[in-house]
Amino acid sequence: MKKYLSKRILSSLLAVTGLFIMVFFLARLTGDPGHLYLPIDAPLEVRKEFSEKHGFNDPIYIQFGRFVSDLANGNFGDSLRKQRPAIDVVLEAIPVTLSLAAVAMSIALFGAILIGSLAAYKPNGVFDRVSRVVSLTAASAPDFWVAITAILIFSVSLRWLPTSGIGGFPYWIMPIGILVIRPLGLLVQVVRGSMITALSSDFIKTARAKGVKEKAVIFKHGLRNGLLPVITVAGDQAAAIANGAVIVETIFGWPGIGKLMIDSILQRDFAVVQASILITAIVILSINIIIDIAYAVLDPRIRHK
Amino acid sequence: MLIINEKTLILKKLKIIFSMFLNDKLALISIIFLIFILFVAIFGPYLINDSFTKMNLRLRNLAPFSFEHNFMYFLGADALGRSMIARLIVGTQNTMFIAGSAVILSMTIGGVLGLVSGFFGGKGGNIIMRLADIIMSFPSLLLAVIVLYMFDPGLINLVIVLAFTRLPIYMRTARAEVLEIRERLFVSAAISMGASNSRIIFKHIAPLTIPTLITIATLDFAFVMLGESALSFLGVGIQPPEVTWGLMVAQGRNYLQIAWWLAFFPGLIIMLVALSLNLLSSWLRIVLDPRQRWRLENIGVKNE
Repeated sequence: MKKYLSKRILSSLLAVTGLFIMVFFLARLTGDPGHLYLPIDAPLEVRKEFSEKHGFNDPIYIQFGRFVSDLANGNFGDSLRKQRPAIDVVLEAIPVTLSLAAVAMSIALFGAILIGSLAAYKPNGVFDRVSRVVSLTAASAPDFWVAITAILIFSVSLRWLPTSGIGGFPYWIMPIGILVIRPLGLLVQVVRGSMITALSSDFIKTARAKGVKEKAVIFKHGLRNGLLPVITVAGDQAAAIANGAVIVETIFGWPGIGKLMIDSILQRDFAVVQASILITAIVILSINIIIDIAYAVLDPRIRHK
Repeated sequence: MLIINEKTLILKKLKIIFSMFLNDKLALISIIFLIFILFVAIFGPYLINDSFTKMNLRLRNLAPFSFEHNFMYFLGADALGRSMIARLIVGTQNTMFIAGSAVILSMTIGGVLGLVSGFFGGKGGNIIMRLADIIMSFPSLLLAVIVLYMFDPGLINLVIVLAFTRLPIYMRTARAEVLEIRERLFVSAAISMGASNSRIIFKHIAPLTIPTLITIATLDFAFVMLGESALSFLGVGIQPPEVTWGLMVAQGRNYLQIAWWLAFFPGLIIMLVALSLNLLSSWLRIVLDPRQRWRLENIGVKNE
């Protein structure tokens, strides 16, 4: 187990490094960032001075070397847009996205487990067929379209919910609701599939023969075994939720990592883009490692390997 | 005699497949809808001539569902008085072309990489799979946004980026399949007959992985289409005056309060196509899985 985990962590670190090198060089391929940051009519001297000051004129390997050594000191450079350390800007945005994602993921997981197990209880029954179509529809819905349609209905026409911004409970309803839709749709399918397999195995028959109550059979014996594949898929959903967060944050004006990244990319704020890529990747890989540990805790067969 | 037998065998097989379609009404509706969309994508733009760009300022933001003007205005018109139907048709062609090319590109490259890495294994194979991990570990949408903003958000770059973000799926699937197929007897036979590696991979192993890859591609088509729409929506996908469904939603967003149909219809079509692909792929999964196939076959026997 320890060996497996350390191997996982090592390969995650390799992945982060690879991603980081890739993005750094890709970013430099587009040309002079000063060109995009300064006003179009900025005189040549100003441009030169700007590039000089931020070191964009140096050969690319020197820029990279400087970046790596800065990184070792925990320095990601300054945000050109906000004139403060990029890492601060990123670390402010991370909790917003994390809270959004955590709430959405919990709701999606809980809902999927409930609906999926009920559907798996009678495969091809009425509930199963209805939930199949509904969950497939949910998995097919373009989130940005659902978001603006929801704004149209609940904010513009009915005036029940605020159109955007962050604040109390009403501000959370639409962003969370939209973020939940696609993972929920996908996870229902996964739970259903793995629950059907779990419920048709021998130990369930044994439990039933022993006279265990039906509820306990499904939720205690079945679910505990059916959940294992679900956890792996939920891990893959971490990256997918981040995709959804980009859309939701942009539309609802949440100052999370997704919006920050899009804004920084649009204004070519190098330092922030790089810092957010690195931090996002680290967060997602950590989540995956945590999920691996959870998997081992739930499945003794892996723990004792 | 033998040829006739084969023919009747194929006919019988087709009949079984057809009856399996009939037994899953949703899959049947999906395939009909998808064929319709494909038809529109291929022939639609030629049938509507220039009405896609024709502006009629008197019909600006015309509301849908009125027969007052000609049929092309049945779904309303946009802020420049261009017919929604015409724009949707042209959008169909672009959207399908982008998603289709991306899926084919991704399936081919990912499939070959997975085949090679699975067949040879070892360090090289592992490095290829680590690449897949890197791509998987980062949100595909952000990756695409970053790359598209660094380069031109043109058609070709868009296709390449979309294909790139979906590579890992095909790589992993193809690799997993090869690891199993590699151990079978006919592969050992081919090796002992002195067949070259590339012959074994592409002639003997590849054909067996194709059904699985195609099932995944069907589902992936929906993902890619949603991804393309999201990118267009964020403004880094296809650029106006070209049009895709996602871009239409983005443009309609500014007119949400006065003309809801501009964003609503294209989004609805995206969802319907994605849903049909999902239903079709879940049908395909059942058909290709011998353990579940009877669910669709048995009813077919009863019907005959």
